[in-house]
Amino acid sequence: MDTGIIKKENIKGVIESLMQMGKVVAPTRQDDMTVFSALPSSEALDLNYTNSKLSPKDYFFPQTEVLFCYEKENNQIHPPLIEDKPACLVGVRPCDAKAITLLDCIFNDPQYKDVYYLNKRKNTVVIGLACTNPQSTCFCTSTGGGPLDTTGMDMLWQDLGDRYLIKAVTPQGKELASKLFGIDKAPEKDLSYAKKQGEKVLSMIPPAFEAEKISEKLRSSFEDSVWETIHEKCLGCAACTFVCPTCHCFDIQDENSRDRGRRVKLWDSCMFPLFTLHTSGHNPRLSGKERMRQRIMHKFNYFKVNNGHVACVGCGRCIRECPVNMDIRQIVSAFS
Amino acid sequence: MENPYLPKNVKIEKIIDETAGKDIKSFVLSFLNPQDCEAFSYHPGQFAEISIAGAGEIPIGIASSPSEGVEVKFTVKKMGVVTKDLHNSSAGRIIGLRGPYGNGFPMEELKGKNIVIVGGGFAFTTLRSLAVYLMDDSRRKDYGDITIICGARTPGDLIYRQEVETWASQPDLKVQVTVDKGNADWSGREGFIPPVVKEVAPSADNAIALVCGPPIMIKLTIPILFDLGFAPNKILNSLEMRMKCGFGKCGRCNIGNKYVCKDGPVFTFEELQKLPQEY
Repeated sequence: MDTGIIKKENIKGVIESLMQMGKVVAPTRQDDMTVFSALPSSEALDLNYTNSKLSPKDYFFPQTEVLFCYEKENNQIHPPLIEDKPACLVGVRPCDAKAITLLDCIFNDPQYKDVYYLNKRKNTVVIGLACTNPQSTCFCTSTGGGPLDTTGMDMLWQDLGDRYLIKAVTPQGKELASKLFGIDKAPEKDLSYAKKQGEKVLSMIPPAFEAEKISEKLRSSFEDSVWETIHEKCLGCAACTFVCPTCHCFDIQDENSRDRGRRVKLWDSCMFPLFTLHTSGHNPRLSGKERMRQRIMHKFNYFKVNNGHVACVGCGRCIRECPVNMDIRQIVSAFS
Repeated sequence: MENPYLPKNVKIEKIIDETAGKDIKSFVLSFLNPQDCEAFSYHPGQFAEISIAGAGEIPIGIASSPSEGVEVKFTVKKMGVVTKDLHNSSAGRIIGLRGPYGNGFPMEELKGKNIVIVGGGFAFTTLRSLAVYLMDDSRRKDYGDITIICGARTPGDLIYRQEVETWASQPDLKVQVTVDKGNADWSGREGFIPPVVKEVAPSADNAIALVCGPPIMIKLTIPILFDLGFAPNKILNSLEMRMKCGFGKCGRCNIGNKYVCKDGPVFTFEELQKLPQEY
């Protein structure tokens, strides 16, 4: 089945059938935030959200992940059991689903495979949720995305009011759709309404810049005087990189407890001076200028050169969470 | 699927004090498991992550040559948490190792060429690996003239001093050793490396120069090599950068779109000219 309809009154049953197949990670309401977490029951699901505080990136690439435990004596290493069970990520916005494919470029590169990431990735079906209520900070259309973009999804759900239109994207998505409880055939009027709704939402997100053009311009802008001043307001708190669905830099640290401990991989940020500090005291990115330049250049030029896409999906979280109201759209537009 | 984050256990077979100040030591390591040893197939110019459970990991250039046998040697300066812990080790200690990483020197490209090796301070480690590799009996005929210019601040800071002295007596090698400042026991050359390169003036004809050392030494040596006729693509540098993973994931060792761990650490000067000056 390529398309179908789930009536909202049946959604509970659909989620329950997904939960029988494996873990379901989906948006839930916690305090005043929407966060992705493993559903304890189908009741906990909340699909009426604009966008989650954090992207679901940390399901595949956790903020802190144990690489292995050890005993200091004789350097004894105890590799962890790497999770290998089927799971389903539900309700992922198109921007965040696309971001997963960008993380794949790093963690699934042909030479070195990050097994921790890949074991979860290959066992997880991604169900996307079309965007119906974009925010003032959204700019996915500037980076090649859109409210109905299915990149990175196995299946797309689109909220049509009292029902969801289901669109299977990949063979896995089709297979899953055939197994789910409560999916009816999509009538023609739902399909045309969904299309119209998509167009309407698309028109609500006018492009703020042209990523392709900016990427090309940045190629020769490393020494541009714009960098001298554009970073001045930045506090270097790194909130932008922590909420970013595509930022993937990490640190590796040993956490000791007497004669044993664990080696962990944890999110790090190019906005911190320690990120590049050599033991000798030399630091190639000494000030905020170099660090801001690295973040922007990496996202809009280096990553594009290496992997063919800019490393920004226009989710707008960095704009929403910045304590000094820095706006990445304005920064990159300085190079348009 | 191989887990690239897991170090393999090695035993410290031997520890050698390389300098009078005892702040630089060589550690000779052997793998506990023969399969790990076989999997660790390297060539000169590559590096590996030395791992000490409880202290952490550090990327260090490999100082031994694969032609020397199965033991792997690293020459390490006492600097931070891991290197201090390593320096406090005794022979027999079990530590971890993962790698090898990086592109290393372009060994195929060096075949048939005259080789000029310029190394300052303890950056000479991977150049030592190269020199030993080139001088191996089975390979020496594959390369032309070999010129080695190396130095350190003081005679006490010269690493591999005895070994370099034996090289100096070999007829098929040109070796020049210099120190910035000599002492009563030093009868050799005094002076910085760049002027020595100028004086020795190795021919650029069919030659490749490999330069490792402190940034100021590299900066002053390159123009001299240009004057001697070395093209930017015939000068090779090995770079250092803060690293964590060593295989292109953790994201901190990039210069522009190149990762020093994966695309480097060896770059031609021509490649470096195209990259942002951020190292």
